[in-house]
Amino acid sequence: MGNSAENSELTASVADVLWLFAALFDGPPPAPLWVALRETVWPHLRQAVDAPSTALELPAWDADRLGVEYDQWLAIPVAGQGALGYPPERVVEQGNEDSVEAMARLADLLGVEWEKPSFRPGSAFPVRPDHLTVLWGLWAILLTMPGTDQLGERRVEDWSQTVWSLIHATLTRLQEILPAETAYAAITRIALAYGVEAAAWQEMGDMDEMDEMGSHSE
Amino acid sequence: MSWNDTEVSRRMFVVGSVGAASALATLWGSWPWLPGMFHRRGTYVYPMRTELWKGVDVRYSVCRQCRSDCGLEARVYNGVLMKLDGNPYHPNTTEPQLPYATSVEESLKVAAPHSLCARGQAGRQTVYDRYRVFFPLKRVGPRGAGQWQTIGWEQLIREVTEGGMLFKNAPGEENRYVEGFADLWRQGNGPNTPVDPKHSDLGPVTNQFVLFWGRSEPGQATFLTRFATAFGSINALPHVGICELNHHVATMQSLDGKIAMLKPDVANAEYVIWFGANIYNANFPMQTLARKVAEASADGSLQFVLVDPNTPNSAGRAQRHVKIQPGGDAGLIMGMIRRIIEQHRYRTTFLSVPSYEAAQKAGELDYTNASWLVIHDSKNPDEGQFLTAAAAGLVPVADPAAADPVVIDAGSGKPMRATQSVVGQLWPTGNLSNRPVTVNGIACQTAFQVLYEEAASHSYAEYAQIAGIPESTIHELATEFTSHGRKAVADFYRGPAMHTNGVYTGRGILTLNFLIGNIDWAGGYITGGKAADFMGAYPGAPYDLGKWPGPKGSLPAGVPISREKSFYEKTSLYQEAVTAGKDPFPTKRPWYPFGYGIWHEIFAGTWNQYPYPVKILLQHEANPAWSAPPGMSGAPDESLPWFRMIKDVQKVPLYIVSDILISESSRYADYIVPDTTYLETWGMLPGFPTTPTGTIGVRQPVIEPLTAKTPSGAAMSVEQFLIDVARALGLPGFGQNAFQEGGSLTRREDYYLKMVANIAYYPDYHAKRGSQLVKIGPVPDAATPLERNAAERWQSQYGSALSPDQWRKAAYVLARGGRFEDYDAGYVPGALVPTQMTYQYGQAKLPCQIYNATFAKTHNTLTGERFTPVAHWEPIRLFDGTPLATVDDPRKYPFLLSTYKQPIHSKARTWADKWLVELMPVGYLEMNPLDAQRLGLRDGDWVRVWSATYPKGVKGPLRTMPGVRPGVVSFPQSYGHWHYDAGQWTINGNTYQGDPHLVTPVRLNACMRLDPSLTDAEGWGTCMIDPVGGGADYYSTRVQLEKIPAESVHALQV
Repeated sequence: MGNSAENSELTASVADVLWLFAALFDGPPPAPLWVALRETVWPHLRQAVDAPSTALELPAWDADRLGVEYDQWLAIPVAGQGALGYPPERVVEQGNEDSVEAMARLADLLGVEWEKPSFRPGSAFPVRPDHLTVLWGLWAILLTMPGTDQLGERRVEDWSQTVWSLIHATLTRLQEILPAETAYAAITRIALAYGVEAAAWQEMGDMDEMDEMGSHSE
Repeated sequence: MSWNDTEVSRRMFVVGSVGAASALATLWGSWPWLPGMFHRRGTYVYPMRTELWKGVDVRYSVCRQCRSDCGLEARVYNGVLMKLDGNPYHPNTTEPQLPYATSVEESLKVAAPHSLCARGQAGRQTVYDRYRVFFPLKRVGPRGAGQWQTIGWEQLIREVTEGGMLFKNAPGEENRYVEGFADLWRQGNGPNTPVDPKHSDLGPVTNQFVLFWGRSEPGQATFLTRFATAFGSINALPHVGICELNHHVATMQSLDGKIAMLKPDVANAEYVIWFGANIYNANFPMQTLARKVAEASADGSLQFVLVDPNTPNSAGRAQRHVKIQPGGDAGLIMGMIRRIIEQHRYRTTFLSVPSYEAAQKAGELDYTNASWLVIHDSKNPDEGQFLTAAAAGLVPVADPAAADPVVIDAGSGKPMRATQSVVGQLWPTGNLSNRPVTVNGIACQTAFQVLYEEAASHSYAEYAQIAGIPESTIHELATEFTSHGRKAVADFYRGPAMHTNGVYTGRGILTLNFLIGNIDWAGGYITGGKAADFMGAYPGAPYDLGKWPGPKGSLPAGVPISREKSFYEKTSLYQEAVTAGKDPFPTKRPWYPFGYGIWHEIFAGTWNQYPYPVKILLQHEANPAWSAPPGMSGAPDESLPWFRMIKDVQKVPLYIVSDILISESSRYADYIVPDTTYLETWGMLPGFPTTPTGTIGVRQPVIEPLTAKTPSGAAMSVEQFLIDVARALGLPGFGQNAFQEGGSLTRREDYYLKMVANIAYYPDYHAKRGSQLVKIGPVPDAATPLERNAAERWQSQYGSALSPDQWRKAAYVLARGGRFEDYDAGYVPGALVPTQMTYQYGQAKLPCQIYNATFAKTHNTLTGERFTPVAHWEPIRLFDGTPLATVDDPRKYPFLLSTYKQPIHSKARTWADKWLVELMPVGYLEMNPLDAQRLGLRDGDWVRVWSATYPKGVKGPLRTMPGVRPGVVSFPQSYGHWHYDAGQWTINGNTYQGDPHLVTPVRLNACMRLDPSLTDAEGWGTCMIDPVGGGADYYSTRVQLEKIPAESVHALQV
């Protein structure tokens, strides 16, 4: 699977992109960063998912409008506030209670404190470990570990699959909820597309690693 | 091509991901919106460490917020220094330190703590201090008026080099011609022109250039000395005399004359007595020694005793705290020596070994001169000197062994050359007998007899009174100290040393260690690891930086302005007096053959124009107006001696200062050269004896210097100033063809990078391989991207400084911030537990000096009194021998003034760091509650404190502290600034106001006593001084105090 230095660099690159999504779903970026993301990072992401040039564009919202979108559609409301009442990011709860416990366990194994100590307006305030921000971050950490390594009671690759399936379910549901013209809908679309490719790439990589292991044992 | 085409899809995914990550790399630094929750609990670890953020450069260098020289890790983003921590390769900050071969990439992920103390972490505020000077300044108006104009670099160089009517616009200086460097250099003839034609041994006229510094460390200090030496001046002088000089002299003169410090091997010691060493707050290195002591005392392997009139933070772990009378340490020490000898608790087998060869046979690592015979006959011209083999009649006078010392051989009972005897007698005339033995008609005592005679000259009761402690303490400590074999140590620092009797007291402490034979043994008193030689004096070094092409002067280097490291008895001044039948004593000012860096004598020599006048005074990173010497400065009072000297343009015709801001001292300069801070400059910093392994930190700029650029494009700094003056004069060792090996010195990196190369090629560092220590030779070539990057930022600008091969090795060292032996190389392997140190004083084959014969023929040049050659107690005295107790009546001045250091502040310069000021904004005069109660004083009351030589006194707030000995008042170092980021000054007619919150109490140095026997008819004098070492006395001043109305303090508040 190529040489290990190249693989390591590629893995780090993919992990960086996952971190980007963790950050975007935690809260809107500062204005200068948002402009830079749109202009310099987004074209590469679209290339990574092999999107046609007209697809998966980001609307040219300014950062303020992005912040309004986030507050309206994605922020977990403080009790009694917010239009939706029940934040769409927590759609994963529906019919998937085991995921909460599993993600809490995974976060504990990785030493990630999934619950923030305090609420800050304009930013997510996870009260469950299966919050979307947390999931992207857990996946980014797992990605850099050998898939066959044991992490607690499961292997890294198994944990990765669970995390990705939760992310996939959440993003799919979000696509249904968010108005299509919003920036966060565009972010969700590309995040979903990138996640599909990343999961496939990770699985291929694990298969290659297993092949290598098999050949060494001959 | 569809999204489902796996091959294409995967390739595009890879390309796009890498592209996105690369684009993100430039944005990572502004990433704080990434949730902090992903900092993984319990570790700093990857991937969330800022060191691993894209765009953050991590550079290893060395701190300089105190003199511990801890390795540091600097995080720089977009050229801005963000954070400082410790360097995991450096033994100061990490224990055990990272194996040196660890890749730099791995070093960024290490989980072990690598710490920097509060002072170190605050250092970035020094860099970004808004009051920094970035351009050359020239005074407008008289010295000290605080009026400046900016001038160009070329004007600065031209004026100081060529001299002229430089201050004709200043009242009173309209017709004053100021000599510049060229006037002394005389187109190269200066080094050949005697400063005093009748006494050419005083050196050349170029000695009238005096360069002194406060903080300049190896590497940079070497650069400054290179300039002075090339110019032809012997006056490149450090600050040691106002720091810890007497400690160093005591240590050096008990060993080989070169080693200035030993430290306990804390990891293996069982018992340590620390005399006046502020463990946990200061000492060397502060955090390292504190960590080792904390761990060893917590696990029960170490018991320690503190002897101090104040209470260091380490007292919480101490077995005992002896609150000694300031200046009375020698009472305790000599009492212990007497007790140990009388109880025969000394290690006879070690003390009676008379030579290196005998030591080898006896399995000892060292030997002493305890059994050597000393001439004990007042009619003998060599009284006090060692009996020689020729004088003993053992060999003819012309024999090569004629000068060998002699012992009474224990086996034969007869006189024998020390190099031939295996065991020398300590008591040739009977146990504990001081009766001399006669050899060849000459009455002699052994050095050990002389020591005991001295120790027994006072009763235990007298010693107890001198020390201000119970007699039982003397006996108990003597017993405890000698109950741990070689795993006990007596260590000391400024507390007992910086008194007028400091050298003798220090000699006593070294003697305690000799009595138990602990030198070089694990758990004993150790020299620490030897640093890689950055000067390249070893065979095969890439650059021998101690030499350079150019002519040598025809005159001797001469005598420093401070008369340090000079035997008056060897000068023409002395010979002339003796030849003329005159008493050669007293001299106009004292001479100090054993001391160095004596600031008070630099200033006294300048004031008295003795032994010659000063023409150019260059001060580097120093603040004498605020800091030292004691009694001569320390308050905004121009009647104090330092200010009187510096304002006198006849005595100091040209005063140049290199500084980073306009401090209390640089306010008086004629020119201020803008300098770089320690985070923008270079240095090569050896480790301290606390660390058993070879250590040298490389300080390198972690950011581009903020000072303005010279016309040649270099950052303005003291080094560039000296380079450009040197080039203007045509000095050898600078400019073109500056090095023996070829190459030019036009920028400071041309020099410093060669030091790094010397470190990289140094062959004598050790590694443990199995049960052997092997020398590992030069470092490998840099191999990883970060290792190569560490040099590329220098190579791109200064590529010609080194050859390509040398760059590859220098990169390895630069990337790690120095060169460090691994943790397990400190002890000789092969034993189950460590027994011997890898680095040993014994390897020098020189004795541990119970008796110093050179002392016995060296004089106090005011009184003619000869120095005492063994450990010795004497009272605090003025230089003319008058006991201080007869001058300052304790009834009139009932308190002894002491001072100490806190861990938050250090020196003058940490006052620029507001984080530290916020933590402790005010210093208090500290007094024992019993004294306070007696005087009706309470916490927060204000008092005025005065002494006999500073009757106007100093005011400050009071705090009661049980940790202070009754009868002592104390104050912490670092407070009392009035012009450090504070005050008012004008530049180019614009007025600048510093921060008034930074003018806070208290500093009592101005109260410290001046010595009337060192004061001239105009009332100009210096502090009390130890006549043997030359170190200033900080702790013997008697003071009185009274309550005054409280004053308000507008301190920096959080």
